Amino acid sequence: MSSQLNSNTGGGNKKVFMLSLRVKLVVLFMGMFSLMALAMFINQSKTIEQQRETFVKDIGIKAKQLSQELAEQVRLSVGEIRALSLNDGGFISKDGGNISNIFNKFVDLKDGKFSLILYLEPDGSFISSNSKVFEGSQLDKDEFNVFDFSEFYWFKELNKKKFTENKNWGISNVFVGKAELINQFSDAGLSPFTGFPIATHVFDRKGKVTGVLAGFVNFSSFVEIGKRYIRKEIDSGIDSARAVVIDQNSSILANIYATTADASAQEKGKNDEAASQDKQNNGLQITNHLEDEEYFENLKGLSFYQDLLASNSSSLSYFDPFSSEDLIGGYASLDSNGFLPNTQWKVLFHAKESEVLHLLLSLEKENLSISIALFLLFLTICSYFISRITSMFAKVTKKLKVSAEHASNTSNILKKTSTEVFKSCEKQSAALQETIASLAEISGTMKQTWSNVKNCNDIMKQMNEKIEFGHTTMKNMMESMQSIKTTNSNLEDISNIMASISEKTSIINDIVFKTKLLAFNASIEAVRAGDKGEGFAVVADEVRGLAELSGEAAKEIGLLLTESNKQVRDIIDTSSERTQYGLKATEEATDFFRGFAEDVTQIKENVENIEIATSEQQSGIKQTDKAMRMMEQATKKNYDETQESLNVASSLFKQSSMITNIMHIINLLVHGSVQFFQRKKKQKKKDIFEQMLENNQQVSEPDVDQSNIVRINQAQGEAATDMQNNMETDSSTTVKETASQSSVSLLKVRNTMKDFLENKSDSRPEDGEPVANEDEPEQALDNPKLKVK
Amino acid sequence: MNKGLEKYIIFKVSDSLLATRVADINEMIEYNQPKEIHTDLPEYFEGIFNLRGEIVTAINLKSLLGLKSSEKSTIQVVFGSESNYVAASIDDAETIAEINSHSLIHSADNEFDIPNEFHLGNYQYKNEIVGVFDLKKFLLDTVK
Repeated sequence: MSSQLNSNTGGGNKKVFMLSLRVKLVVLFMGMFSLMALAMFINQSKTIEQQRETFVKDIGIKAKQLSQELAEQVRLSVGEIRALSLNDGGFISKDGGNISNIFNKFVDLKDGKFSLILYLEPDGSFISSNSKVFEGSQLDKDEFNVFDFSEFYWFKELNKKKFTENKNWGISNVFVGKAELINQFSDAGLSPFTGFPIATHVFDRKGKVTGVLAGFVNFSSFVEIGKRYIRKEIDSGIDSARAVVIDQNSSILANIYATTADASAQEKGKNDEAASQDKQNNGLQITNHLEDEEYFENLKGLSFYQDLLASNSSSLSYFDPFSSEDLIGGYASLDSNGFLPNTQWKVLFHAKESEVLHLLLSLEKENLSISIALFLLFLTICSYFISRITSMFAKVTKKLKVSAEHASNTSNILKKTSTEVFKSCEKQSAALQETIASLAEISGTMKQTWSNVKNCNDIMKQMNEKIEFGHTTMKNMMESMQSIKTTNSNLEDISNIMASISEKTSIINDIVFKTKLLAFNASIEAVRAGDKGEGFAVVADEVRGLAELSGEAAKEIGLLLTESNKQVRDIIDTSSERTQYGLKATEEATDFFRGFAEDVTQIKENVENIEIATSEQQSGIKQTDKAMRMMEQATKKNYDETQESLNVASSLFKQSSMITNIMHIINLLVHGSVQFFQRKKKQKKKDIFEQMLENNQQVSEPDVDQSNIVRINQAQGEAATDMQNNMETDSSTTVKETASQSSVSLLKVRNTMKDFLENKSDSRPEDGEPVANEDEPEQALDNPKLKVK
Repeated sequence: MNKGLEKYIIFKVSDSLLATRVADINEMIEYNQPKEIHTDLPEYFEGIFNLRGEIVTAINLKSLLGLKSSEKSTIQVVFGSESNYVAASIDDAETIAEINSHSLIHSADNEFDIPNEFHLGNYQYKNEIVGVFDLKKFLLDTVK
């Protein structure tokens, strides 16, 4: 259905026809089927031509196959004569009657292939022959006696042993003569025939030549071969065919023409005998037109025949002036089949082209009829389905509108959600980066701690060594203190010795005291002695003086000993006290060092544990850092994907808006309408829908007023809805009413467009002024605009 | 021999030096612990002891002279004759000196509780004043 076109009255307005989808599809499918039919016709013509060419080539192959069969028959004939010559039944005894019977049976056995078989003396005298021909008349053998066969060329050649030898065929000791018209023996009752002699010697058991055997092959026997061959071709669909065998002198050896019974009725010269022959040939009229010299002479005059003779094997189609028909002919030479030397026979096989191509032409007509029938059938079916599709398309468009609105709402929600997720991702990314930075600091601190712990461990090891050294020193000190104690003991001994000396000094003092006392008493006694005792008194005085001196010395010694002993005792006491104190202090220090060493060992173990724990913590922090980086990557990926999702949401929103607009376009496409476009002077002629699609792709360009766009969309939606309603109106509504409603709807669109264009010109920003708020691109995305030129 | 020269033994009692004539002394013995006699005798009577078969009365000269000294006496100077023997305990014998009786410095009294009749004078010995007494008589009178 095509909609009515409106007039183009205003300057600059262009009226555009829009066809409905149904009409377009019908035209499209008709065009497609027409093209297909044309293609099929061309293809079939090409196929027929190719098949004709193939048949032309095949007919050359057929001629070659026929020549091969002929050659095989000749070889068999030669072999048969050679085999017959080896049969001694009567040949050696030269019993004429017996030999004649044998020859008769041989002729019958070979179905008349041999018309005449002669048995001759080595000098050429006649001995015997067959007495009758195959299914023919009796021969008068006596008539052969008049011939001097030694004068025949084949007899001479045989005796000259110019044998026809073919090692490949196993032919030897035989001479095969040329094909010719053999008419010398008509007096003997043998009708003239075209044939060739096969002559060979007959030997006795000693190998001596006893005779010459000559068999004359009748070419009419080859007609049977041609008959079979042509019959095979006729069975494949042709009505008639001709096979001609000629020799090197262009003499016809065999001229075989075969046709169906119906066609044979039109043959000239058809007689009762031929009709009888038709029955024997299963309804085929097969004629050896050997006598049709006129035909062949005319044939030789044709250029194509000359062309055939000039080539060994060829095929072509030509126009036969005798039958006024196109013929397809094939030509083959027996030379190329390894045939007998000096024998150049050729085979010509041809048939009518109309008959050859009859099946192809019939097939062409049949295909054409089928194609036309299929075309009409497909056209009907397509019309039905197109109608279904357009109605479904309208329903789908309606549903698509709902889906587009739903997609728009969903895209809004998705965009808001994506925005929230995007912000969360940003916060999460920032938090993760801070965490990673903190982890890096902790990792640095842990490294420093680990280094300190390691240093501490080293210091603890050094401390342990020093403690060991202190322990050893304390042990040495203990030993020294023990030595001091021993020394004190020695000093104690000295003190005792000194005490003992002091005691000894008291004895001295006592002695001194007593000596002194004794000296006093001596002095007393000296005094008593008077003058006599003066000397004694002097001695007493000296003794007393010595005693006093001794007493003084002893007293001093005693004092020194006492003082020394006192000092030694003080030293011993002090040393003992200090030694005891030192021992105690050493023991306490040793205990302290032992405890300190244990504490240091414990600290060392703890430090090692701290080192291990720190190392594990470092490993944990590394893993945590790795995990955090993976989380960062995941967060970044989420960030990117969220951003992508945001973009997708925006894109989805735009696409939903596009779908809404496209839906209007589809409405127009499906139902057809008329659109008016403001035509500008420099505007290029673009396709309407490409332009509308382009406008839809530019929805985000903020160069028009949003309110106008909304109004346009609303107006278009209303128009589309109205048109859809109009389309769905009761079928009784007339086209006129529908057109009127459509005009009203379109008028609304045109007015809205007009308003929009006026507002657009008013609201168009000046050059250089930003067309939209760049800080709010999403808002711009939220407001799809239609750029109308 | 110069006339007036006599040998005196100078001895020490407590912190004082006394001298008496050597010729009056029987002998000087190492202090023997006397056997105490529990009587109402004065304190300077220490007791008696046996000296080679003779009973000797032990007099604590320091107590007799009214001197106080913690130093233990080491020598006893024996005086007497004919079963009347007195042993005065002294701390130590210093020396025997020849003293001219004319060179003795006489004084009206002495620092000891010895009657002056037994005080023969004072003698200077090594910058110290030695009281020279006739201890034999004094002691013998005391023990009578």
